[in-house]
Amino acid sequence: MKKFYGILLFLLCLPILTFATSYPDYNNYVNDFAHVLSPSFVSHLTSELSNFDKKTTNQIAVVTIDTTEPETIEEYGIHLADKWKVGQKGKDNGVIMLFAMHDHKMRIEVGRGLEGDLTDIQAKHIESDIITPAFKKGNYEQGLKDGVDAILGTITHDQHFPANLSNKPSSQHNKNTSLGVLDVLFYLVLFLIFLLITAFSPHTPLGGRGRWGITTFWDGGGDNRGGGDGFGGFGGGGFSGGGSSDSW
Amino acid sequence: MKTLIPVAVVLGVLFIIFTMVMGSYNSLVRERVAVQTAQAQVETQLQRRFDLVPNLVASAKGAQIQEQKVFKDIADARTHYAGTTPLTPERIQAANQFESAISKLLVIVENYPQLQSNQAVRDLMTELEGTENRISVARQRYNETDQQYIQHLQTFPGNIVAGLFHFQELPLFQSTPGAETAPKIDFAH
Repeated sequence: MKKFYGILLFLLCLPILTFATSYPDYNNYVNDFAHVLSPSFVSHLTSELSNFDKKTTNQIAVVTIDTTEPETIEEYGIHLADKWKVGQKGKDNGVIMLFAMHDHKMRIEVGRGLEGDLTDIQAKHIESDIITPAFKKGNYEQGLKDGVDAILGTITHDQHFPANLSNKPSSQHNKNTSLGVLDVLFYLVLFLIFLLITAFSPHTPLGGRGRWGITTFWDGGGDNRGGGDGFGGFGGGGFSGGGSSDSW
Repeated sequence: MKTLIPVAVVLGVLFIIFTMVMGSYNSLVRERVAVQTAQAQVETQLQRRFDLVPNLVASAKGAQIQEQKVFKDIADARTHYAGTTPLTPERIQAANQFESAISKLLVIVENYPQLQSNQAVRDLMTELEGTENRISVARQRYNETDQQYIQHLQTFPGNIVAGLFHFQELPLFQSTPGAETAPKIDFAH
């Protein structure tokens, strides 16, 4: 009988165990799994982070998810970091900005190699002074944009770094969630390409993302635009729990 | 010619045993070094905590907080820790003792508006919070490495090789009961 209870307990724990160990795969620098960002914003941010990567080799990943349950955001953060390995191998210069939208919690997970440039205290200030106030008002894109800029500025020790990053005018704080004409055109073209590919291929070209399948294609299709030429994935950066958490 | 066959068989068997023992020995050494490295990581972070806590104690005293017992517990735990050697169960226990002592201080500081409104104290708490997180990450990695080592020690042929060359099990980090529910530092509210 005891054995039976043991097995029962094990079976009851099973869903928890499997849930605890499943972390999403990344698509690009910006991974809006909670679907709170507009495609145009995602693409702006992606290209900013992509440029930053090209220029400095520092890799910053932005992640929105619904919840980290049953883990705390700290546990989830380090496990995600261990899986994604944001940053370069050896340099360990990655940062993950993690937002659990339903939990109202955020965490900036800092790679080992950047702990000196982006200290826990600096990360905390970026969260509580810049991101949290905007998030409280529901201005996720504003908070995210300003937060990313602050992180880039802090890492490079240059407050104006984001503005100097590209020669085009710094991307406006885009609160606009509706699609522009270009976006519509872009999706139309993308849609046609998708139709063509699926028409000639027995498998979906997004097979690797099987978990999200075609829905990802619709909702997060903009992901790949900004990074366009060559997001080759993250490079093997190591984390040891640096950074800071906050809630809004 | 016929006498050579048994000799060859014996030599062959000896060679196989030798390679097995050597392979097992080498990986035990590698794993033990990995555990020691992971342990050093934990120690580094614990040291950082030891360096930070006196500042917090000083801030608390500066704000006229009279919790002599808490201050004394912290000091005692620190002394206790200093008297232990790395990679022993006593050291792990001492680290846990220190942890539960400072968690009381954290509750006090958290409920003290005068300290909460002090930016320097808040930064200190942020730093401590970061250190706590690094400690838990370092511990988890230590345990993972140690579990692999222990498993190797307990299974064949590792158990025999370990007996021959005096490899010993290294203690896992087990937090004190209730440590998971220890009050968290949270300035969000």
